[in-house]
Amino acid sequence: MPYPRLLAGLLLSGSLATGAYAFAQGAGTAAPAAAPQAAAADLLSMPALLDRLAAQGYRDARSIERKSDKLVEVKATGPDGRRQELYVDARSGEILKVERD
Amino acid sequence: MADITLPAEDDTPPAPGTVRVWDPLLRLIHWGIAAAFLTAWLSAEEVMVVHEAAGLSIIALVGVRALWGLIGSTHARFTDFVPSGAGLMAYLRALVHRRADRHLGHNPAGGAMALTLWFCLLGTAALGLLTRYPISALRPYGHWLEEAHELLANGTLVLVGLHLAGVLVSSLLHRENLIRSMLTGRKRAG
Repeated sequence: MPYPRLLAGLLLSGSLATGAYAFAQGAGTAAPAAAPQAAAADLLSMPALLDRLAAQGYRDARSIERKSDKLVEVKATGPDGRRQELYVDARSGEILKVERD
Repeated sequence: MADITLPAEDDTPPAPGTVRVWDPLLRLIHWGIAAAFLTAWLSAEEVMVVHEAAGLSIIALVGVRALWGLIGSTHARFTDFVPSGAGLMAYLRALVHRRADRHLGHNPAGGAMALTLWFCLLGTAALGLLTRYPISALRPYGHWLEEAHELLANGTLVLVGLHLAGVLVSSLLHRENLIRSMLTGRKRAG
């Protein structure tokens, strides 16, 4: 191939383009790649989630539904004895929102 | 472009009758790419953080090597070693008859091999990157990308084997140690 400079330019552009894409995707920081796996691994099991709610005074859960990989909806009786609908963080177990059922 | 001198290099006086062929940056890139490819190979499907870092290193090293191929020292430049098709065939024919000329820089087969290796390394790294961080349009072909990445990685490993074989044959043919030359940067003159 009689175009050495063209080939060098091609290789250099390829490297720059690939490097730019890697940078844009945050490659090498391991954070974005690790996140999807962590999402599945860090989810609380349903019993663990109910335990956390029980610790905060919620009992007699009648329904528990995973809405997404972030949110779980629980219908339970609150500390005040009323039926409530809770939106709970699927990973931390934190109560995000409480509604009257 | 002035000769780049890295610290802790060339402290020992050069052996008499030898000339500087490979500059320090070229040697650093050569062994850097070799180490990164070995690391990437060993960490594949095992330690993905290391595997990814090795791939990114390869992208950067090949890029610097290409730039050095435009502005680097004499034998680093692509114009010094990228062979014409006819030149490559003539060299390979001569090699079969053990009459191949000795070259101070890359011989035509070595030049063609280096060039092919860099493109395959960059291609492998790019495919790996796309497997890991897919462009949305390519998302349905993720499995295909991964297969292509592995195929090209295997092909590159075969090329590395041929590269080593070429170094060995050329070393024996011209009675010189080319591996040492890539470490010291020097070759027997004339």
